[in-house]
Amino acid sequence: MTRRELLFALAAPGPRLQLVDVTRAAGLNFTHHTGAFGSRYLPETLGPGCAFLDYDNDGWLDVLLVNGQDWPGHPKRRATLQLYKNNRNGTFTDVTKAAGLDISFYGLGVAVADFNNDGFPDLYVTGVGQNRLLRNTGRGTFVDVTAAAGLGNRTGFSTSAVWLDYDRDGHLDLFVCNYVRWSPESDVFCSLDGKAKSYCTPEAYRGTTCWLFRNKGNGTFEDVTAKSGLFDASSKSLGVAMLDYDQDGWPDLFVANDTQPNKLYRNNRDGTFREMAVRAGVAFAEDGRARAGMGVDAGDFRRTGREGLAVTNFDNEMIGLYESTGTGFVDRAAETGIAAASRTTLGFGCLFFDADLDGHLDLLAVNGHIDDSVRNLARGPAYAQPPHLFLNDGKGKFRDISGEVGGGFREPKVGRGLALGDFDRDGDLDVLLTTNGGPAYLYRNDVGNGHRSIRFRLEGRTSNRDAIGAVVQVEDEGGWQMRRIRSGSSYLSSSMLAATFGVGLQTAVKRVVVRWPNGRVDEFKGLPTGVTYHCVEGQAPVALNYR
Amino acid sequence: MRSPTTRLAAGVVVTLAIILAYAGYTLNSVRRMREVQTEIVDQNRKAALQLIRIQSDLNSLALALRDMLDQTDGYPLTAWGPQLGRIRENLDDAIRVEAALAAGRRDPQQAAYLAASFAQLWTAVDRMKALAETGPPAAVTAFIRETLEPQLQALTSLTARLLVQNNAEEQRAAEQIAGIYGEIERNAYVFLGLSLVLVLVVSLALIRSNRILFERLASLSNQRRELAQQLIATQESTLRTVSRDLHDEFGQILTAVGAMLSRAGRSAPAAFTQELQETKVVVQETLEKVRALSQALQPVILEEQGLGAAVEWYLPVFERQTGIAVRYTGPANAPVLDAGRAIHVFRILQEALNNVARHAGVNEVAVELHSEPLRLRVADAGPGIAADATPGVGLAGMRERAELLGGTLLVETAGGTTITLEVPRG
Repeated sequence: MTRRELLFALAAPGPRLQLVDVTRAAGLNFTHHTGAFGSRYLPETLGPGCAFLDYDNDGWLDVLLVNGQDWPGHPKRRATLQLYKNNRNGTFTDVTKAAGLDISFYGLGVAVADFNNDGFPDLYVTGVGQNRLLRNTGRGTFVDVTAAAGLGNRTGFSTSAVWLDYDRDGHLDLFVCNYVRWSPESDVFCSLDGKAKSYCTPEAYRGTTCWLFRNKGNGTFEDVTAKSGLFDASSKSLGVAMLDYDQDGWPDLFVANDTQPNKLYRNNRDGTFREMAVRAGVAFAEDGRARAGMGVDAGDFRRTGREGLAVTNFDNEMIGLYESTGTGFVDRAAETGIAAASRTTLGFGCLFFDADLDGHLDLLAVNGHIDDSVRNLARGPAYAQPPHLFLNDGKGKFRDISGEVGGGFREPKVGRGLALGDFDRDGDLDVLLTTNGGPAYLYRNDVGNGHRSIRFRLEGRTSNRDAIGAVVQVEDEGGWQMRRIRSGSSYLSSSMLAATFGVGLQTAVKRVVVRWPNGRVDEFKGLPTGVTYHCVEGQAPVALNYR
Repeated sequence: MRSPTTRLAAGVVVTLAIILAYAGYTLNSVRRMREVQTEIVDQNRKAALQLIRIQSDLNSLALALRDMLDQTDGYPLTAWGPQLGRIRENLDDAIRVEAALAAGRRDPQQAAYLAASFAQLWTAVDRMKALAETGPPAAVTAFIRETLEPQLQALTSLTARLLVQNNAEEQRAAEQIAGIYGEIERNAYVFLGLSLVLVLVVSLALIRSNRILFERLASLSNQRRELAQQLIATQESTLRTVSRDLHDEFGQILTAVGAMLSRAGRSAPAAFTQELQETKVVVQETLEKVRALSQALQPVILEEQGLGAAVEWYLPVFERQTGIAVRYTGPANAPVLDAGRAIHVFRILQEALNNVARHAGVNEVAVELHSEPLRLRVADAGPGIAADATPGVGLAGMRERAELLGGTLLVETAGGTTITLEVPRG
């Protein structure tokens, strides 16, 4: 810490950021529809996801919220996806219908990326039954190209999804998590008291494989699940994160499984993957048990240049915070203070981000139980649970400051989806979260300590246009930081693609290195902070003001 | 009388030996327990975990085979290859670790049978995968049902039996540990009992020795006191006899000599008159000295007028003899004390003042005498008694006399020396 930073910190006691609940003011009047009618179907407990995306490419982040629907034979109300356009003044307008997204199906998650490299973000919406690939026309509308893209006639119980260019051919491929084999017809009767039906845990159902679809570059996809070695019928997957754990420049995948061992798929650079989770130490908890993995994110939270992992789990299982050793991972949740703080919470969405822009990645996790009948248990866990915002002190400790950031942020919620994006373009990352059967929340992040950020919006040329998989490294007074451009992570959700770095009070960074997915490296020096840079592959960065 | 030290030392040595022996025994038991726990219980626990891992992997294999038979995912049977590979990798690792943990405890025939069974399973799995590559799906499903599933079932049963055996061994180890705990508990009670008996015996011996010692000390003290009293009585009797003889015998003789010299002077020639007169003066002086000596040895005034008068007579004598001024504070009422007791008070006064004259180096001494109760105090402002000074016979004599009076003698040395004799009433 420089003398100036120290003086500033002393002069500004208390929390260094505020999360202001602007949901109502912004006009987000969404309520998740689970379709529940008393039969307690398993999918009702899982959704919904959410996304920050700039669907109209106007430079201002819009909001997409996924919704469920009525179960067949039990009509209540029509529910659809909901798209909110950013009015650039802190408010949003519901443009669902105009955008052609008033589609009613049992949606759960969403992955956002420009799969056809046309400059406009497309959507892959997962759910129960047929998932949807919705192509952005570039004119403010989306069209369903599921069947045309070769992704039709495929039903499942899909959860999180991630776009990645696993074969580095410049076209984004798609990895989709599937949970269990479930349908209303095969629903199992489970009960906590032997009388009333309760929601079943995944042990009651058979697992099912995740899917990998290779983008053929012509608007169609090929199912390479079996060919790539990713086929695994035992998995019950909920979360997925892309990372490069062996640092070979090829994207690997971590899959969080519920009551099954997590999977870590190392990219063999030949179109196949090798599962390494047991060897790498991320398959099981420290006691050898498979935990109920929900959400996951990868990030360099120790500033070592290597990506660690955060995995949310069931209550009494604690968040797994895995630090990379270079060849594997070590769970540091206990010594960092995260384990104790997360012992009684059931986590879903989780994301690393530099909440207070001090140069260290913090961790945000939303929580909430799956079964509302736990409210009837005398000493059971709560149904609605407060989220965690763990502030990283840069010395190996994390402290939950969710109660210090205002905005009712710590109010218990039945949290599920979580996405991050700078919707007000003030340089810090704002929070979008969803609740099961409840509203979505938009929290505006007001970093009040004078800390600055620097942001990079990447555009690939021979690499995929969104530059997903690219790594941005920034050297500042505190050493190196790194971010990977990634879709997915968290749980059922997609965040802003641009990489945001907190730099404290520094007005410039020493050096910036961009490692593009195709292997190209661009390097820039002495960039001022407080600016978003548009970096086109192979070209000098162009500064864009935040406002 | 024999010294108890040897016996007491022996008792202490025996107690220490018992404690050391018990500590050694306890440490040895703990070490044995740790060995049992580490070598058997921990090994069994680890082996059980590996057996459960094997069971879990066999279960995963069974589920994968079931999924292959169902083929509901719509993928070709070859798609299961990597999943089966992962199960095999994990299973082989579990078998290897479990075999190492069970080494030396498992029957060699059983170990060989286990290894052969798994080898047969993998051979069958490889054959099934080869069939999946080339043969019709029906042939693969038939192979799974007819060959793989029965083998899997047999291996699952075998693993279950191994778990039962493992559990039985763990039970035995638990019983062994319980036995060690019981032994330690029993021995703890024995140790406690022995220690109590020993402590009791040593304590009784100590009490008995102390009692004998105290009795002996009391007897010696009484003997010493009687001796001292006899000594003082003899001394006083001798002094009284000498004083009386000096006063009565030598006084009479010298008075008679004086009278005879007076008569002789009257009839003697003038030439002798002067010499006779000088001789008479010498005799008269001798007579006065004898009387003074007699008075000093045993003041008649003590017997005739009491302690108060004796003290008032003696103090000017002391002043004249030593040149030390005496500041005297007398009693309001004359102390009532018989001469036999009063002489001890007087001797204490004499000895205290003698000590002042010899050691204090002062020009003044304070003397206080009180009656009812009797208290005599002699105080000087000298340097006091040095801490390393050897107590003299005089002080011991004063104490003896105080004891004879049934009183106490207090010697204070702060800011000079103060000797206080207190004799309670009665």
